[in-house]
Amino acid sequence: MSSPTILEPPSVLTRAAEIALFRAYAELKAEGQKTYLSYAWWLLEPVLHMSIYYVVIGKFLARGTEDFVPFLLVGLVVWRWFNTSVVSGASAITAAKGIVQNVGVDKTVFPAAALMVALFKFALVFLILCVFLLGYGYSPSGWYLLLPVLAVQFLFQAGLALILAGAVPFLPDIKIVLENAIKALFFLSGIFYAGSSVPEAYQPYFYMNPIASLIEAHRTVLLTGSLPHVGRLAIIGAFGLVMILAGSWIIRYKRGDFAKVVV
Amino acid sequence: MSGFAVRLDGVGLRYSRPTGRFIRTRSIEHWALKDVSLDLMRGESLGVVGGNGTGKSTLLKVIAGILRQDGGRVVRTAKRIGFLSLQAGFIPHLSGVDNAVLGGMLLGLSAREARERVDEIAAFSELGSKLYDPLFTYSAGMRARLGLSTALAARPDVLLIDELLAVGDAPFRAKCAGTVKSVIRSDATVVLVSHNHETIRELCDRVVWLDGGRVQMVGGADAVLQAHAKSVVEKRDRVMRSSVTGEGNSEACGS
Repeated sequence: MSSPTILEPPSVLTRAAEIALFRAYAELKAEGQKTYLSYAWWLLEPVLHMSIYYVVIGKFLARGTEDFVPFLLVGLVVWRWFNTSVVSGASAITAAKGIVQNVGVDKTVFPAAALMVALFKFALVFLILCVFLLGYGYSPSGWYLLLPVLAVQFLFQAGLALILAGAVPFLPDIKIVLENAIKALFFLSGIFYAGSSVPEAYQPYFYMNPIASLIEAHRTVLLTGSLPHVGRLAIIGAFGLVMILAGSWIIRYKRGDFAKVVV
Repeated sequence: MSGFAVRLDGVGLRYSRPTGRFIRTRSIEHWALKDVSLDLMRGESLGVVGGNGTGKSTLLKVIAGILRQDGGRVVRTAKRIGFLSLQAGFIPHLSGVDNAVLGGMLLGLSAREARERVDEIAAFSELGSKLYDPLFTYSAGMRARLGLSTALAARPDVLLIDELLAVGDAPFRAKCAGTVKSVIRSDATVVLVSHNHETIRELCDRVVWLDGGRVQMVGGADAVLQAHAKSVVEKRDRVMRSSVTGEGNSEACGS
């Protein structure tokens, strides 16, 4: 069989993109049909999630400074996008076993659809966050800088999701590692504390974590309207691109083997 | 219409599963297909016979490109190859229409083509306005009708049928059998797996007999079916004799 290439004919790519898009639409639509509160959950669930952290960290632990609420909300919203993208992407091919067993379709469509679903839900919550920040009195004049930050974050987590989606079916152990890595990252990424409050000796290590850098970049733009650390973003973006290429390659290279292990 | 749609050349397919007492680093290998060479000609109906676990379904999956061979070569000139039963990919909380569109796309249609064929699917499946209800409200028979109608409407270049000529209630079954048979008899390329020799004899020009993952025999339907039937009878007699004399023959009973 011919070796896999990233450069497929355009028609093949369009077909795959169409399937991924339709699957994302289908998943979103189906989700609304499963519960009584339906689509309202897309907002209610993040609100519930965020209130818990607000009460525990802001009130009980009394870590809250004056602007703690916007500070915490930005961190949590950005974190949730990363978390859902990577976790749902990682299990996307395994979860689509019915299709994997019965159709010889490009398996990239499953993590791609998961990424689109996560992006859509994030966009909703993020828009509301922006409105909230405006009401809180933050100025939107520097917010155009969000575009590169959002793009870099998308590249990074898409790359991670694709690699994991291709690897998890063959090495299910990765899923257990991932679950614990996500728990660790939640505490390591500066969601409820600032990078500047980390002891200076540990700061270089703290910023090696791409999520910590990304959360700080979002805060810099949204809450101060100034330019985030460009060098760090460039490295994360480049790393994301490399992972996207590697992940797509893995999935294509193993395309005829998924049906053996996804059962 | 001449030439092959799919050519298998010395194809082998291996399943392996990890094993080991504590850390499972060793693996047990099993070759489900061994050195299978076969041309599926364009427009022909090829029957596949053989006992349980002889590689029939694996063969279909290799032809469809769902599984990649671990040895040998597969050449496909046909673009769209699909199973006739399409229910596995269905999403329960989605309407029948959406599931049909998704199914059509998975069989290689563009989103627009898939949407254009919804009317055809509605008509053939006789589901009517039920097609707009979520799939989880369908009975098993209705679900099967939708899957079958979708696959037929998608008109893949090669249709793979794994023992599926009985779907739905009696009237629909009759209609289905009629349609599937007319599709098979038309110049569509079909691979049909069945344990029913009558069905295969009626519908297939050529037959492959698989045994232990190898092609035991391939050729005209009558000759192959006759040889296969003879071996089945011999095997059954052997089993009956050994069970009468009290010697277990686990190999012949295993499936």
